[in-house]
Amino acid sequence: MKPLTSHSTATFRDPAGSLRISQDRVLRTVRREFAEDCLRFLRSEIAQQWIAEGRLVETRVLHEAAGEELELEHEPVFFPTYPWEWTPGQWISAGELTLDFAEQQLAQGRVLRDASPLNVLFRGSSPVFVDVLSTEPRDLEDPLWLAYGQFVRTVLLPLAAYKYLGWPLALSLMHRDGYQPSELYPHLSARSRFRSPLFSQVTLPHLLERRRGSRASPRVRLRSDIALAVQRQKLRQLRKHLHVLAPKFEESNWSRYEQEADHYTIEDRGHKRDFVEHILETARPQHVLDIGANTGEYSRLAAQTGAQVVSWDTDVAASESNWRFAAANRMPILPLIADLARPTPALGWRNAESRSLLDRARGRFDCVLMLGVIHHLLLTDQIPIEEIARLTAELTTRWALLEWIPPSDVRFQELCCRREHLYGGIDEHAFVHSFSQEFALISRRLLGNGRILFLLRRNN
Amino acid sequence: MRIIKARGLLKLIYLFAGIVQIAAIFSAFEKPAYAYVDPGSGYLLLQIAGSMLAGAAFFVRHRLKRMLGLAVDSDSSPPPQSGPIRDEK
Repeated sequence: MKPLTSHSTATFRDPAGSLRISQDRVLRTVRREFAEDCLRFLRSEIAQQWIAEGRLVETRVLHEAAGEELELEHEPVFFPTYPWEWTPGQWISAGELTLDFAEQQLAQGRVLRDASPLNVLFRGSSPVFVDVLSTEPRDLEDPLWLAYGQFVRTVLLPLAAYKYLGWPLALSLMHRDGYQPSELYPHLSARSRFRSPLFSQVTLPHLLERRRGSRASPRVRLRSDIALAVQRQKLRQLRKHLHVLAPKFEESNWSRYEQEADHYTIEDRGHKRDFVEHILETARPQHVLDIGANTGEYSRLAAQTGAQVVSWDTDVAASESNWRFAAANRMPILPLIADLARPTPALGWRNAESRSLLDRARGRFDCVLMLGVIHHLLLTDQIPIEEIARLTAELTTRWALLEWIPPSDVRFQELCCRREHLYGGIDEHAFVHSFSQEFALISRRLLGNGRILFLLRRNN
Repeated sequence: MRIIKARGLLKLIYLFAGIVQIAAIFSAFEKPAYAYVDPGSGYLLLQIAGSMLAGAAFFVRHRLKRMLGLAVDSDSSPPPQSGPIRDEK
């Protein structure tokens, strides 16, 4: 398996330490002023319990010495993701985990000082909190949670903008610190400005900020038991708001695709499923990338053979449906909203804080599924077939299971639309020839509707 | 019975007078709240107002329960004479 990357610094904004990825190891350096407290937290019963439950990243101490920096190593998460690639359900799940963690920390006399969704990654369909430096001892008489604003800006407001304004959650890639209330306020209708939770999370903060500007705010101190009760009540309120903002599931053309695929007879569909299942059971890949996964029918087949699956699709509703099923059944499937033709770019300082989708994916999978997707790349995105073959070879270390849709297919013709002179000549022979540079043909299955399934093995 | 009621009322009046007084002190002597992340001035003000209200409600509920002889939450310690809000150290 190819290393994640060599010697890249993943985070450095945190004054308490930094994280770097070296070969396939995730290493964290904690500054000496924060080392003792970090160790105290990691050795606490609650941290150990969360690690055992898989909700906190497993961490081992590499080096500790009084007055020196602390060196930690985290268990790598197979496929790191960013909130701008998540489905709405994954946002809710990450928000819930953050609030759960904050609540547990309160009970331990600690507080979360950073409540960004970037602290959460997914192992399959399970969220895991990865920033062990996000917690610090709490001033027991302080009822304020300083990361409250960050949680609202980076979790609640993107969900509110998605639910009430239709702004895609993927836009969060342009807003590292989420939305300011003043960015949403002008776009809300007069009525919705008074709707809960928009009134308390957008309207009031916007009006207060406008009136007050950026003047410093005072500290408040309450009796410790009252301060604790206030903090708990605040977390309950945020949880309530998070659930109110959970978008209702809406179908799309793609999320209904499996039921409405009229170009497939029940028999053909069964044959396709049998072929894919047989290949997966024979090859037994460990890491499968399902490109164009739709609602995850074939991702689930791969997961059932014991593979860890990452499913990419451009459709939010289809990916959400995939996520809901995987999460409800605790399947090792990680659905992401991702477009192979326009993959997520590298972002942040020096373009090195958030890695591009392809940088994270290259050589990480031993099997790539591309079922019913190549004709879209070819005709809609106008990617040459040789390019598709080359990128497929970069993504998989061994197997590629592909579906070829011939120019005679009704869907091919719909997408081709008066460009037959450009694409009509790409027949099965041309398709196989394009992939033959990088792959050997192992198996072929012609379906009754003229579509062809290929199992290819990558040349070494 | 009347004396108990009058005492309770007097205590509540003292409590709210205390809150107003402390709020006035806060407005007069502002000190910044330091954070690793931007707390957002609007959210911070909202939290301050919410904390004072929630704190006062908690305190009043606690006092009322004690006056009426009802069980008090096990995790709350006996209220101090000075009221729920403390001055900045």
